[in-house]
Amino acid sequence: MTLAAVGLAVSLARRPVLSDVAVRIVPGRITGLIGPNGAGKSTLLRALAGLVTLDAGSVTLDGRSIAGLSRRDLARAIAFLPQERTVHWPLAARAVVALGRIPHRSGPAGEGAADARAIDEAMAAMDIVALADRPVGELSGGERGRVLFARALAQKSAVILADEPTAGLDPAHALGLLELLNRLAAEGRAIAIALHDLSLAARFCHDVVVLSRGRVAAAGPRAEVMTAERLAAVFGVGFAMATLDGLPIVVPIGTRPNGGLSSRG
Amino acid sequence: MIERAGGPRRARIGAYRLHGALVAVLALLFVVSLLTGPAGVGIPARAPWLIVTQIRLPRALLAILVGAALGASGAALQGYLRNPLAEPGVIGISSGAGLGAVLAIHSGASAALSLALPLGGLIGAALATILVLTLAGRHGGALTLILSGVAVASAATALMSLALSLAPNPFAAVEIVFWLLGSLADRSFEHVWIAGPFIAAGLVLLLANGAGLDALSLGEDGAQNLGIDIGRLRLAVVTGAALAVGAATAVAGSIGFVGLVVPHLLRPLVGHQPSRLVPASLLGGAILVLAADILVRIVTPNGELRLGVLTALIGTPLFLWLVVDTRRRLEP
Repeated sequence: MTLAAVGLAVSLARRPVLSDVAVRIVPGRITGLIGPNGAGKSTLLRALAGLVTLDAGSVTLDGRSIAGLSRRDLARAIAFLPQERTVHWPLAARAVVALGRIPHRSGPAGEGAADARAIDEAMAAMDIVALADRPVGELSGGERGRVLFARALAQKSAVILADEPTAGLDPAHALGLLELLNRLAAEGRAIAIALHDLSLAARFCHDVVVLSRGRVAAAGPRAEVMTAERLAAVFGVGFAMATLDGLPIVVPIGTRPNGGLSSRG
Repeated sequence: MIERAGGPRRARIGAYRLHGALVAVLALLFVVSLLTGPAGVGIPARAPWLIVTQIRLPRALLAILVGAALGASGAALQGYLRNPLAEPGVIGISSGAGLGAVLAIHSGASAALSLALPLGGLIGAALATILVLTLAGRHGGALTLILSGVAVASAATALMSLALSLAPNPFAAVEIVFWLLGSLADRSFEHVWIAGPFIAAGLVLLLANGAGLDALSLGEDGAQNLGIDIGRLRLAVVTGAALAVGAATAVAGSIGFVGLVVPHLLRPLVGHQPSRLVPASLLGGAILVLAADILVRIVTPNGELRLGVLTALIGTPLFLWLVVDTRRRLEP
Protein backbone atom coordinates (compact mmCIF):
# COMPACT_ATOMS: atom_id res chain seq x y z
CA MET A 1 0.00 0.00 0.00
CA THR A 2 1.24 3.47 -0.83
CA LEU A 3 0.65 6.20 1.72
CA ALA A 4 0.79 9.66 0.21
CA ALA A 5 0.21 13.20 1.38
CA VAL A 6 -0.28 16.27 -0.79
CA GLY A 7 -0.58 19.92 0.13
CA LEU A 8 -0.55 19.03 3.80
CA ALA A 9 -0.99 21.89 6.27
CA VAL A 10 -1.31 21.31 9.99
CA SER A 11 -1.56 23.69 12.94
CA LEU A 12 -1.16 22.74 16.56
CA ALA A 13 -2.67 25.17 19.10
CA ARG A 14 -3.20 27.63 16.22
CA ARG A 15 0.51 27.65 15.37
CA PRO A 16 1.27 26.40 11.84
CA VAL A 17 3.54 23.36 12.09
CA LEU A 18 3.41 21.96 8.56
CA SER A 19 2.64 23.77 5.34
CA ASP A 20 2.35 22.47 1.83
CA VAL A 21 4.02 19.15 2.59
CA ALA A 22 3.94 16.34 0.04
CA VAL A 23 5.42 12.89 0.67
CA ARG A 24 5.00 9.39 -0.72
CA ILE A 25 5.69 6.32 1.39
CA VAL A 26 5.92 3.49 -1.11
CA PRO A 27 6.03 -0.29 -0.62
CA GLY A 28 9.47 -1.84 -0.68
CA ARG A 29 11.29 1.26 0.52
CA ILE A 30 12.23 2.88 3.80
CA THR A 31 11.61 6.61 3.79
CA GLY A 32 13.63 8.56 6.34
CA LEU A 33 12.39 11.85 7.75
CA ILE A 34 15.25 14.06 8.89
CA GLY A 35 15.41 17.65 10.05
CA PRO A 36 16.21 19.74 13.11
CA ASN A 37 14.12 19.69 16.31
CA GLY A 38 10.75 21.28 15.72
CA ALA A 39 10.93 20.86 11.94
CA GLY A 40 7.66 18.91 12.00
CA LYS A 41 8.82 15.30 11.69
CA SER A 42 6.61 13.96 14.47
CA THR A 43 3.62 15.99 13.33
CA LEU A 44 4.06 14.71 9.78
CA LEU A 45 4.10 11.10 11.02
CA ARG A 46 1.03 11.75 13.18
CA ALA A 47 -0.75 13.34 10.21
CA LEU A 48 0.14 10.34 8.03
CA ALA A 49 -1.29 8.06 10.74
CA GLY A 50 -4.53 10.04 10.72
CA LEU A 51 -4.07 11.42 14.24
CA VAL A 52 -4.24 15.17 13.63
CA THR A 53 -6.79 17.45 12.03
CA LEU A 54 -5.59 18.79 8.69
CA ASP A 55 -5.92 22.49 7.81
CA ALA A 56 -5.46 21.65 4.16
CA GLY A 57 -4.37 18.82 1.89
CA SER A 58 -5.08 15.15 2.15
CA VAL A 59 -3.54 11.84 3.11
CA THR A 60 -4.36 8.93 0.85
CA LEU A 61 -3.83 5.21 1.10
CA ASP A 62 -3.61 3.67 -2.37
CA GLY A 63 -5.38 6.74 -3.69
CA ARG A 64 -8.27 6.69 -1.20
CA SER A 65 -8.49 9.40 1.44
CA ILE A 66 -7.85 8.02 4.94
CA ALA A 67 -10.50 10.42 6.25
CA GLY A 68 -13.06 8.02 4.77
CA LEU A 69 -11.67 4.96 6.55
CA SER A 70 -12.85 3.75 9.95
CA ARG A 71 -10.32 3.92 12.82
CA ARG A 72 -10.22 0.15 12.81
CA ASP A 73 -9.50 -0.21 9.08
CA LEU A 74 -6.84 2.47 9.45
CA ALA A 75 -5.31 0.56 12.38
CA ARG A 76 -5.09 -2.60 10.29
CA ALA A 77 -3.36 -0.72 7.45
CA ILE A 78 -1.02 1.57 9.38
CA ALA A 79 0.99 0.88 12.54
CA PHE A 80 2.39 3.96 14.23
CA LEU A 81 5.04 4.07 16.93
CA PRO A 82 4.74 7.42 18.75
CA GLN A 83 7.79 9.13 20.15
CA GLU A 84 6.31 8.92 23.62
CA ARG A 85 7.39 5.68 25.24
CA THR A 86 5.04 5.79 28.22
CA VAL A 87 2.95 2.78 29.19
CA HIS A 88 0.44 3.92 31.78
CA TRP A 89 0.12 0.69 33.77
CA PRO A 90 2.85 -1.80 34.71
CA LEU A 91 1.60 -4.32 32.15
CA ALA A 92 3.72 -7.37 31.37
CA ALA A 93 5.79 -6.93 28.20
CA ARG A 94 3.81 -9.61 26.39
CA ALA A 95 0.52 -7.91 27.27
CA VAL A 96 1.82 -4.69 25.71
CA VAL A 97 2.78 -6.49 22.49
CA ALA A 98 -0.66 -8.15 22.49
CA LEU A 99 -2.29 -4.70 22.31
CA GLY A 100 -1.19 -4.67 18.66
CA ARG A 101 -3.82 -7.33 17.96
CA ILE A 102 -6.77 -5.22 19.14
CA PRO A 103 -7.66 -4.00 15.62
CA HIS A 104 -7.79 -7.61 14.42
CA ARG A 105 -10.05 -8.91 17.18
CA SER A 106 -13.77 -9.07 16.76
CA GLY A 107 -15.74 -8.49 19.92
CA PRO A 108 -14.45 -9.38 23.34
CA ALA A 109 -13.09 -12.73 22.14
CA GLY A 110 -9.76 -13.68 23.64
CA GLU A 111 -6.49 -14.21 21.88
CA GLY A 112 -6.72 -16.60 18.91
CA ALA A 113 -4.00 -18.72 17.33
CA ALA A 114 -3.23 -16.08 14.67
CA ASP A 115 -2.91 -13.46 17.41
CA ALA A 116 -0.56 -15.64 19.45
CA ARG A 117 1.59 -16.29 16.37
CA ALA A 118 1.83 -12.61 15.47
CA ILE A 119 2.72 -11.70 19.07
CA ASP A 120 5.37 -14.41 19.38
CA GLU A 121 6.93 -13.49 16.03
CA ALA A 122 7.07 -9.82 16.90
CA MET A 123 8.65 -10.59 20.28
CA ALA A 124 11.23 -12.88 18.71
CA ALA A 125 12.04 -10.25 16.07
CA MET A 126 12.64 -7.62 18.77
CA ASP A 127 14.62 -10.03 20.99
CA ILE A 128 12.28 -9.56 23.95
CA VAL A 129 11.07 -13.14 24.44
CA ALA A 130 13.00 -13.30 27.73
CA LEU A 131 11.23 -10.16 28.96
CA ALA A 132 7.70 -11.53 28.33
CA ASP A 133 6.56 -11.55 31.97
CA ARG A 134 8.44 -8.47 33.15
CA PRO A 135 6.37 -5.37 33.91
CA VAL A 136 7.29 -2.70 31.36
CA GLY A 137 7.91 -0.17 34.12
CA GLU A 138 10.87 -2.21 35.30
CA LEU A 139 12.49 -2.35 31.86
CA SER A 140 15.19 0.03 30.66
CA GLY A 141 14.23 2.72 28.16
CA GLY A 142 15.73 0.78 25.28
CA GLU A 143 14.03 -2.46 26.29
CA ARG A 144 10.71 -0.64 26.58
CA GLY A 145 11.31 0.87 23.13
CA ARG A 146 11.74 -2.64 21.72
CA VAL A 147 8.57 -3.87 23.46
CA LEU A 148 6.59 -0.95 22.01
CA PHE A 149 8.04 -1.52 18.56
CA ALA A 150 7.05 -5.18 18.82
CA ARG A 151 3.49 -3.95 19.49
CA ALA A 152 3.59 -2.08 16.17
CA LEU A 153 4.98 -5.19 14.41
CA ALA A 154 2.26 -7.42 15.90
CA GLN A 155 -0.27 -5.14 14.19
CA LYS A 156 0.86 -6.74 10.87
CA SER A 157 0.09 -3.62 8.88
CA ALA A 158 1.12 -2.83 5.32
CA VAL A 159 2.47 0.55 6.41
CA ILE A 160 4.76 1.16 9.41
CA LEU A 161 5.39 4.68 10.70
CA ALA A 162 7.89 5.04 13.55
CA ASP A 163 9.01 8.16 15.36
CA GLU A 164 12.68 7.68 16.28
CA PRO A 165 12.43 3.91 16.67
CA THR A 166 16.15 3.66 17.53
CA ALA A 167 16.05 6.26 20.33
CA GLY A 168 17.62 4.76 23.46
CA LEU A 169 18.58 1.50 21.76
CA ASP A 170 22.12 0.13 22.08
CA PRO A 171 24.05 -0.14 18.78
CA ALA A 172 23.34 -3.84 18.36
CA HIS A 173 19.59 -3.48 18.83
CA ALA A 174 19.44 -0.26 16.78
CA LEU A 175 21.13 -2.04 13.89
CA GLY A 176 18.95 -5.10 14.40
CA LEU A 177 15.82 -2.97 14.23
CA LEU A 178 16.86 -1.19 11.04
CA GLU A 179 17.90 -4.46 9.41
CA LEU A 180 14.49 -5.86 10.33
CA LEU A 181 12.81 -2.82 8.74
CA ASN A 182 14.93 -3.47 5.67
CA ARG A 183 13.63 -7.04 5.47
CA LEU A 184 10.04 -5.87 6.05
CA ALA A 185 10.46 -3.35 3.23
CA ALA A 186 11.81 -6.11 1.00
CA GLU A 187 8.64 -8.08 1.77
CA GLY A 188 6.64 -5.19 0.36
CA ARG A 189 5.80 -3.04 3.37
CA ALA A 190 5.89 0.74 3.14
CA ILE A 191 7.96 2.22 5.96
CA ALA A 192 8.64 5.75 7.18
CA ILE A 193 10.87 6.57 10.14
CA ALA A 194 11.99 9.81 11.73
CA LEU A 195 15.69 9.61 12.58
CA HIS A 196 18.26 11.84 14.21
CA ASP A 197 21.24 9.60 13.49
CA LEU A 198 22.14 10.75 9.99
CA SER A 199 24.69 7.96 9.48
CA LEU A 200 22.00 5.37 10.06
CA ALA A 201 19.61 7.34 7.84
CA ALA A 202 22.22 7.42 5.07
CA ARG A 203 22.82 3.72 5.46
CA PHE A 204 19.30 2.33 5.73
CA CYS A 205 16.83 4.74 4.16
CA HIS A 206 16.12 4.32 0.47
CA ASP A 207 14.44 7.71 0.25
CA VAL A 208 14.94 10.74 2.46
CA VAL A 209 12.62 13.66 3.16
CA VAL A 210 14.36 16.67 4.66
CA LEU A 211 12.01 18.84 6.70
CA SER A 212 12.83 22.37 7.69
CA ARG A 213 10.45 24.69 9.52
CA GLY A 214 7.41 22.74 8.51
CA ARG A 215 8.25 22.50 4.83
CA VAL A 216 9.90 19.88 2.66
CA ALA A 217 13.40 21.21 1.93
CA ALA A 218 14.28 18.26 -0.24
CA ALA A 219 12.97 14.79 -0.99
CA GLY A 220 14.13 11.89 -3.11
CA PRO A 221 16.60 9.01 -3.20
CA ARG A 222 19.05 9.21 -0.30
CA ALA A 223 22.18 9.82 -2.37
CA GLU A 224 20.65 12.79 -4.15
CA VAL A 225 19.17 14.39 -1.06
CA MET A 226 21.80 13.91 1.64
CA THR A 227 24.55 16.22 0.48
CA ALA A 228 26.82 18.09 2.86
CA GLU A 229 25.62 21.45 1.52
CA ARG A 230 21.94 20.67 2.02
CA LEU A 231 22.42 19.21 5.49
CA ALA A 232 24.48 22.25 6.49
CA ALA A 233 21.79 24.57 5.19
CA VAL A 234 19.00 22.78 7.02
CA PHE A 235 20.70 21.91 10.31
CA GLY A 236 22.81 25.08 10.57
CA VAL A 237 25.98 23.15 11.22
CA GLY A 238 28.69 21.81 8.92
CA PHE A 239 28.88 18.08 8.16
CA ALA A 240 31.69 15.77 7.12
CA MET A 241 30.55 12.92 4.93
CA ALA A 242 32.70 9.89 4.27
CA THR A 243 32.54 6.22 3.47
CA LEU A 244 34.14 3.71 5.80
CA ASP A 245 34.29 0.04 4.82
CA GLY A 246 31.56 0.82 2.32
CA LEU A 247 29.27 2.39 4.95
CA PRO A 248 28.23 6.04 4.80
CA ILE A 249 29.33 8.22 7.74
CA VAL A 250 27.74 11.61 8.40
CA VAL A 251 29.32 13.62 11.23
CA PRO A 252 28.53 17.18 12.36
CA ILE A 253 31.82 19.06 12.56
CA GLY A 254 31.09 22.38 14.25
CA THR A 255 28.43 24.38 15.97
CA ARG A 256 28.64 27.08 13.29
CA PRO A 257 28.29 26.56 9.58
CA ASN A 258 31.65 26.48 7.76
CA GLY A 259 32.53 29.37 5.53
CA GLY A 260 30.84 29.19 2.19
CA LEU A 261 27.92 27.16 3.50
CA SER A 262 24.71 29.06 3.86
CA SER A 263 23.24 29.10 7.32
CA ARG A 264 19.56 28.87 8.21
CA GLY A 265 17.56 31.95 7.42
CA MET B 1 2.24 -25.35 20.71
CA ILE B 2 4.07 -24.79 23.97
CA GLU B 3 2.45 -22.23 26.25
CA ARG B 4 5.00 -19.97 27.79
CA ALA B 5 4.61 -18.55 31.27
CA GLY B 6 2.42 -15.47 31.08
CA GLY B 7 0.87 -16.72 27.85
CA PRO B 8 -2.78 -16.26 26.97
CA ARG B 9 -3.83 -19.61 28.38
CA ARG B 10 -2.32 -18.96 31.77
CA ALA B 11 -3.89 -15.51 31.83
CA ARG B 12 -7.28 -17.04 31.03
CA ILE B 13 -6.95 -19.72 33.70
CA GLY B 14 -5.87 -17.02 36.16
CA ALA B 15 -8.95 -14.96 35.30
CA TYR B 16 -11.26 -17.98 35.75
CA ARG B 17 -9.66 -18.70 39.11
CA LEU B 18 -9.94 -15.12 40.33
CA HIS B 19 -13.53 -14.73 39.15
CA GLY B 20 -14.43 -18.12 40.59
CA ALA B 21 -12.99 -17.19 43.97
CA LEU B 22 -14.74 -13.81 43.98
CA VAL B 23 -18.08 -15.36 43.00
CA ALA B 24 -17.71 -17.98 45.77
CA VAL B 25 -17.06 -15.29 48.39
CA LEU B 26 -19.97 -13.25 47.08
CA ALA B 27 -22.33 -16.25 47.20
CA LEU B 28 -21.28 -17.01 50.77
CA LEU B 29 -21.83 -13.40 51.85
CA PHE B 30 -25.20 -13.38 50.09
CA VAL B 31 -26.37 -16.30 52.23
CA VAL B 32 -24.95 -14.69 55.39
CA SER B 33 -26.72 -11.45 54.48
CA LEU B 34 -30.06 -13.26 54.19
CA LEU B 35 -29.47 -14.80 57.62
CA THR B 36 -28.41 -11.56 59.29
CA GLY B 37 -30.99 -9.66 61.28
CA PRO B 38 -31.07 -7.22 64.17
CA ALA B 39 -30.50 -10.18 66.50
CA GLY B 40 -27.31 -11.23 64.78
CA VAL B 41 -26.64 -14.03 62.31
CA GLY B 42 -29.02 -16.96 62.52
CA ILE B 43 -32.21 -18.42 61.16
CA PRO B 44 -35.11 -16.24 62.28
CA ALA B 45 -37.59 -18.05 64.49
CA ARG B 46 -40.88 -16.45 63.52
CA ALA B 47 -42.29 -15.61 60.09
CA PRO B 48 -38.83 -16.19 58.68
CA TRP B 49 -39.74 -16.46 55.03
CA LEU B 50 -41.48 -13.12 54.82
CA ILE B 51 -38.61 -11.31 56.53
CA VAL B 52 -36.06 -13.01 54.35
CA THR B 53 -37.83 -12.40 51.04
CA GLN B 54 -39.31 -8.96 51.65
CA ILE B 55 -36.67 -7.25 53.79
CA ARG B 56 -33.34 -9.01 53.59
CA LEU B 57 -33.40 -10.22 49.99
CA PRO B 58 -33.94 -6.79 48.39
CA ARG B 59 -31.34 -5.36 50.76
CA ALA B 60 -28.76 -8.00 49.77
CA LEU B 61 -29.56 -7.59 46.06
CA LEU B 62 -29.17 -3.82 46.34
CA ALA B 63 -25.86 -4.20 48.16
CA ILE B 64 -24.61 -6.37 45.28
CA LEU B 65 -25.94 -3.99 42.61
CA VAL B 66 -24.57 -0.87 44.31
CA GLY B 67 -21.19 -2.45 45.03
CA ALA B 68 -20.89 -3.80 41.47
CA ALA B 69 -21.77 -0.36 40.07
CA LEU B 70 -19.20 1.43 42.23
CA GLY B 71 -16.41 -1.13 41.72
CA ALA B 72 -16.78 -1.49 37.95
CA SER B 73 -17.18 2.27 37.41
CA GLY B 74 -14.11 3.01 39.50
CA ALA B 75 -12.04 0.50 37.51
CA ALA B 76 -13.30 1.79 34.15
CA LEU B 77 -12.74 5.44 35.06
CA GLN B 78 -9.25 4.74 36.38
CA GLY B 79 -8.52 2.96 33.10
CA TYR B 80 -9.99 5.71 30.97
CA LEU B 81 -8.32 8.56 32.86
CA ARG B 82 -5.10 6.53 33.30
CA ASN B 83 -5.12 7.70 36.86
CA PRO B 84 -5.26 5.32 39.84
CA LEU B 85 -6.84 8.07 41.96
CA ALA B 86 -9.93 8.40 39.78
CA GLU B 87 -13.25 7.25 41.19
CA PRO B 88 -16.89 7.87 40.29
CA GLY B 89 -16.98 11.03 42.44
CA VAL B 90 -14.29 12.65 40.31
CA ILE B 91 -16.58 13.13 37.32
CA GLY B 92 -19.41 14.65 39.36
CA ILE B 93 -21.99 11.89 38.91
CA SER B 94 -22.44 10.94 42.58
CA SER B 95 -22.69 14.62 43.59
CA GLY B 96 -25.30 15.21 40.89
CA ALA B 97 -27.33 12.22 42.09
CA GLY B 98 -26.91 13.39 45.68
CA LEU B 99 -28.14 16.88 44.87
CA GLY B 100 -31.19 15.51 43.03
CA ALA B 101 -32.10 13.33 46.01
CA VAL B 102 -31.49 16.13 48.53
CA LEU B 103 -33.76 18.44 46.53
CA ALA B 104 -36.43 15.71 46.59
CA ILE B 105 -36.21 15.67 50.40
CA HIS B 106 -35.99 19.46 50.66
CA SER B 107 -39.01 20.10 48.47
CA GLY B 108 -41.04 17.61 50.47
CA ALA B 109 -41.60 15.49 47.35
CA SER B 110 -40.08 12.46 49.04
CA ALA B 111 -42.52 12.79 51.94
CA ALA B 112 -45.45 12.74 49.51
CA LEU B 113 -44.08 9.92 47.35
CA SER B 114 -41.34 7.65 48.63
CA LEU B 115 -40.00 6.97 45.14
CA ALA B 116 -39.45 10.69 44.54
CA LEU B 117 -36.11 10.35 46.32
CA PRO B 118 -34.47 7.79 44.00
CA LEU B 119 -36.10 9.40 40.96
CA GLY B 120 -34.68 12.78 42.00
CA GLY B 121 -31.29 11.12 42.31
CA LEU B 122 -31.54 9.64 38.81
CA ILE B 123 -32.51 12.99 37.30
CA GLY B 124 -29.69 14.73 39.16
CA ALA B 125 -27.16 12.17 37.90
CA ALA B 126 -28.40 12.51 34.31
CA LEU B 127 -28.22 16.32 34.37
CA ALA B 128 -24.74 16.28 35.97
CA THR B 129 -23.50 13.84 33.33
CA ILE B 130 -24.83 15.91 30.44
CA LEU B 131 -23.29 19.02 31.99
CA VAL B 132 -19.90 17.37 32.51
CA LEU B 133 -19.78 15.94 28.97
CA THR B 134 -20.80 19.30 27.48
CA LEU B 135 -18.23 21.21 29.52
CA ALA B 136 -15.48 18.73 28.66
CA GLY B 137 -16.03 19.25 24.93
CA ARG B 138 -15.95 16.75 22.13
CA HIS B 139 -12.24 16.63 21.46
CA GLY B 140 -10.73 17.25 24.87
CA GLY B 141 -8.79 14.49 26.53
CA ALA B 142 -8.83 13.11 30.05
CA LEU B 143 -7.82 16.42 31.64
CA THR B 144 -10.85 18.44 30.53
CA LEU B 145 -13.11 15.62 31.74
CA ILE B 146 -11.56 15.68 35.24
CA LEU B 147 -11.66 19.48 35.39
CA SER B 148 -15.31 19.74 34.38
CA GLY B 149 -16.17 16.80 36.68
CA VAL B 150 -14.53 18.52 39.66
CA ALA B 151 -16.32 21.78 38.79
CA VAL B 152 -19.74 20.10 38.60
CA ALA B 153 -19.04 18.09 41.78
CA SER B 154 -18.14 21.19 43.81
CA ALA B 155 -21.16 23.12 42.51
CA ALA B 156 -23.46 20.22 43.43
CA THR B 157 -21.86 19.86 46.87
CA ALA B 158 -22.28 23.59 47.51
CA LEU B 159 -25.95 23.44 46.51
CA MET B 160 -26.44 20.42 48.77
CA SER B 161 -25.04 22.40 51.71
CA LEU B 162 -27.32 25.29 50.80
CA ALA B 163 -30.34 22.97 50.72
CA LEU B 164 -29.26 21.71 54.14
CA SER B 165 -29.07 25.24 55.62
CA LEU B 166 -32.39 26.14 54.09
CA ALA B 167 -34.08 22.96 55.26
CA PRO B 168 -37.76 23.68 56.02
CA ASN B 169 -37.59 21.89 59.38
CA PRO B 170 -35.06 20.01 61.54
CA PHE B 171 -36.47 16.66 60.44
CA ALA B 172 -35.74 17.37 56.79
CA ALA B 173 -32.22 18.49 57.75
CA VAL B 174 -31.61 15.26 59.67
CA GLU B 175 -33.04 13.23 56.80
CA ILE B 176 -30.72 14.94 54.34
CA VAL B 177 -27.66 14.36 56.51
CA PHE B 178 -28.49 10.70 57.09
CA TRP B 179 -29.31 10.15 53.45
CA LEU B 180 -25.95 11.60 52.44
CA LEU B 181 -24.16 9.11 54.71
CA GLY B 182 -25.47 6.24 52.59
CA SER B 183 -27.52 3.28 53.72
CA LEU B 184 -29.40 0.24 52.50
CA ALA B 185 -31.76 0.04 55.45
CA ASP B 186 -35.51 -0.16 54.77
CA ARG B 187 -35.08 -0.58 51.03
CA SER B 188 -37.65 -2.68 49.18
CA PHE B 189 -37.94 -4.46 45.87
CA GLU B 190 -39.21 -1.20 44.39
CA HIS B 191 -35.72 0.19 44.83
CA VAL B 192 -34.26 -2.90 43.17
CA TRP B 193 -36.57 -2.43 40.17
CA ILE B 194 -35.74 1.28 39.94
CA ALA B 195 -31.96 0.93 40.15
CA GLY B 196 -31.46 -2.55 38.69
CA PRO B 197 -32.06 -1.86 34.99
CA PHE B 198 -29.91 1.30 34.97
CA ILE B 199 -27.08 -0.41 36.84
CA ALA B 200 -27.26 -3.47 34.56
CA ALA B 201 -27.19 -1.30 31.42
CA GLY B 202 -24.27 0.71 32.80
CA LEU B 203 -22.30 -2.43 33.68
CA VAL B 204 -22.85 -3.92 30.21
CA LEU B 205 -21.55 -0.69 28.65
CA LEU B 206 -18.48 -0.66 30.91
CA LEU B 207 -17.70 -4.35 30.32
CA ALA B 208 -18.03 -3.97 26.54
CA ASN B 209 -15.33 -1.32 26.31
CA GLY B 210 -12.42 -3.18 27.88
CA ALA B 211 -10.33 -3.27 24.70
CA GLY B 212 -10.46 0.52 24.42
CA LEU B 213 -9.29 0.88 28.02
CA ASP B 214 -6.40 -1.51 27.36
CA ALA B 215 -5.43 0.41 24.23
CA LEU B 216 -5.35 3.66 26.24
CA SER B 217 -2.40 2.23 28.21
CA LEU B 218 -0.37 3.50 25.25
CA GLY B 219 -1.79 7.03 25.44
CA GLU B 220 -4.39 8.63 23.21
CA ASP B 221 -2.29 8.52 20.01
CA GLY B 222 -1.41 4.90 20.67
CA ALA B 223 -5.03 3.96 21.34
CA GLN B 224 -6.29 5.68 18.20
CA ASN B 225 -3.63 3.87 16.20
CA LEU B 226 -5.11 0.63 17.59
CA GLY B 227 -8.44 1.53 16.03
CA ILE B 228 -10.09 3.08 19.09
CA ASP B 229 -12.37 6.09 18.64
CA ILE B 230 -11.46 8.06 21.77
CA GLY B 231 -14.57 10.24 21.65
CA ARG B 232 -16.87 7.22 21.49
CA LEU B 233 -14.92 5.46 24.22
CA ARG B 234 -15.29 8.45 26.53
CA LEU B 235 -19.00 8.68 25.85
CA ALA B 236 -19.39 4.95 26.58
CA VAL B 237 -17.35 5.00 29.81
CA VAL B 238 -18.93 8.17 31.20
CA THR B 239 -22.44 7.05 30.25
CA GLY B 240 -21.86 3.57 31.66
CA ALA B 241 -20.48 4.96 34.94
CA ALA B 242 -23.26 7.56 35.10
CA LEU B 243 -26.02 4.95 34.65
CA ALA B 244 -24.51 2.60 37.22
CA VAL B 245 -23.32 5.09 39.85
CA GLY B 246 -26.22 7.50 39.34
CA ALA B 247 -28.73 4.72 39.99
CA ALA B 248 -26.66 3.32 42.88
CA THR B 249 -26.43 6.73 44.57
CA ALA B 250 -30.10 7.39 43.94
CA VAL B 251 -31.15 4.33 45.97
CA ALA B 252 -28.35 4.07 48.54
CA GLY B 253 -26.98 7.56 49.06
CA SER B 254 -23.33 8.33 48.69
CA ILE B 255 -21.11 5.39 49.49
CA GLY B 256 -17.52 6.41 49.27
CA PHE B 257 -14.18 4.71 48.76
CA VAL B 258 -15.52 1.52 47.13
CA GLY B 259 -14.82 2.77 43.60
CA LEU B 260 -11.35 3.88 44.64
CA VAL B 261 -10.09 1.08 46.83
CA VAL B 262 -11.50 -2.04 45.14
CA PRO B 263 -9.73 -1.54 41.78
CA HIS B 264 -6.53 -0.78 43.69
CA LEU B 265 -6.69 -3.99 45.66
CA LEU B 266 -7.46 -6.16 42.63
CA ARG B 267 -5.19 -4.52 40.04
CA PRO B 268 -2.09 -6.64 40.76
CA LEU B 269 -4.22 -9.81 40.56
CA VAL B 270 -5.22 -9.09 36.94
CA GLY B 271 -1.76 -8.13 35.70
CA HIS B 272 -2.72 -4.43 35.85
CA GLN B 273 -4.79 -4.87 32.69
CA PRO B 274 -7.72 -2.38 32.63
CA SER B 275 -10.04 -4.67 30.64
CA ARG B 276 -9.63 -7.49 33.17
CA LEU B 277 -9.89 -5.13 36.12
CA VAL B 278 -13.46 -4.06 35.27
CA PRO B 279 -15.18 -7.46 35.78
CA ALA B 280 -12.96 -8.26 38.79
CA SER B 281 -13.80 -4.91 40.44
CA LEU B 282 -17.48 -5.44 39.69
CA LEU B 283 -17.35 -8.60 41.83
CA GLY B 284 -14.99 -7.05 44.39
CA GLY B 285 -17.18 -3.99 44.85
CA ALA B 286 -20.23 -6.19 45.37
CA ILE B 287 -18.30 -8.18 47.99
CA LEU B 288 -17.13 -5.08 49.87
CA VAL B 289 -20.56 -3.40 50.02
CA LEU B 290 -22.36 -6.63 50.89
CA ALA B 291 -19.84 -7.40 53.66
CA ALA B 292 -20.05 -3.84 54.98
CA ASP B 293 -23.84 -3.99 55.01
CA ILE B 294 -23.73 -7.23 57.04
CA LEU B 295 -21.25 -5.67 59.47
CA VAL B 296 -23.41 -2.55 59.84
CA ARG B 297 -26.34 -4.69 60.94
CA ILE B 298 -24.29 -6.80 63.36
CA VAL B 299 -22.39 -3.90 64.98
CA THR B 300 -25.36 -1.55 65.38
CA PRO B 301 -28.70 -3.34 65.02
CA ASN B 302 -30.52 0.00 65.40
CA GLY B 303 -28.80 1.52 62.42
CA GLU B 304 -26.60 4.15 64.06
CA LEU B 305 -23.63 3.15 61.94
CA ARG B 306 -24.27 4.10 58.33
CA LEU B 307 -23.08 1.99 55.42
CA GLY B 308 -21.25 4.87 53.72
CA VAL B 309 -19.41 5.59 56.95
CA LEU B 310 -18.39 1.97 57.38
CA THR B 311 -17.11 1.54 53.80
CA ALA B 312 -14.91 4.58 54.40
CA LEU B 313 -13.79 3.16 57.77
CA ILE B 314 -12.92 -0.18 56.12
CA GLY B 315 -11.52 1.48 53.00
CA THR B 316 -9.14 3.89 54.69
CA PRO B 317 -6.93 1.28 56.43
CA LEU B 318 -6.87 -0.80 53.23
CA PHE B 319 -5.79 2.27 51.37
CA LEU B 320 -3.15 3.19 53.96
CA TRP B 321 -1.81 -0.34 53.75
CA LEU B 322 -1.56 0.09 49.96
CA VAL B 323 0.35 3.35 50.46
CA VAL B 324 2.79 1.70 52.86
CA ASP B 325 3.16 -1.29 50.53
CA THR B 326 3.82 0.96 47.54
CA ARG B 327 6.36 2.95 49.54
CA ARG B 328 8.13 -0.22 50.59
CA ARG B 329 8.42 -1.37 46.99
CA LEU B 330 9.67 2.03 45.81
CA GLU B 331 12.35 2.27 48.49
CA PRO B 332 15.70 0.79 47.56
